[in-house]
Amino acid sequence: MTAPTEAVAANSPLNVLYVEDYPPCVALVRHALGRRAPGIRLEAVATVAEAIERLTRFEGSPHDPPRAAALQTPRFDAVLTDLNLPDGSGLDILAHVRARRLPLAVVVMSSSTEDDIAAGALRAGADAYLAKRDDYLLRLPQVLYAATARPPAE
Amino acid sequence: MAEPGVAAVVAARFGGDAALYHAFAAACAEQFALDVVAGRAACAAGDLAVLRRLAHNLKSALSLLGRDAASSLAAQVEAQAATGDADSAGLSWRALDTALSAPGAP
Repeated sequence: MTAPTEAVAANSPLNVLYVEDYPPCVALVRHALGRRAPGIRLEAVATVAEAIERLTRFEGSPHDPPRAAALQTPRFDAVLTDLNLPDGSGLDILAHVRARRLPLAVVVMSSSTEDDIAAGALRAGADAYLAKRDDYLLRLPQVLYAATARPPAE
Repeated sequence: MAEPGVAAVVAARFGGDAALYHAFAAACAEQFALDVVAGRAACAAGDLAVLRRLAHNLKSALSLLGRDAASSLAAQVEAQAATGDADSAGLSWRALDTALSAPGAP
């Protein structure tokens, strides 16, 4: 599979549930994506419990997008989650998505650059792992589009 | 080792987007003020779980801002709080508190 081009990444619509509890980081990712990939729309929640509540509503939504819109049910293409959350781990959200076979890509982010953290997230079924270091903001749109372009990991 | 200047941080971590950096720095300045208050309260109450959580978030944000020394202090607080070493975590927090409260920070 080839990575999408910047042009595709910047314009294609993508609905992402973003799980992060630190307000400056939420604002940063929102601003960065708004400037570099305006097609990506974020809905941000701060905890595992809130994410699972949103995903539960997603599960119950009809697969017919116009009907889902009429019912105001959330539609997501991907979950972008921090690993370390106030009430648990991003891996708990990943487990929820995979256990219910939700058609969602899951990208896990963390400030850790340790290989075993990344490997653990991928082994648990994440489509991608992104360390919050260096140029991760620049790579984020491409990582999200690439994750949603492949079938969800088992 | 000297910390990277703003221009280097903007180039390396914000794709050359100075406005994005400054928006983040402003958001961090507001949040750090809240974190300092919360950290002091957590130290006074011996609440290592809260201290660990604060330090974890600060570690990441400070690193993005290029404030490597303060980020290392936050990592130290996080590690000490995780092992239940309240005395060391409290001492490290005070050093971090001073760094966060310095004029001109972040």
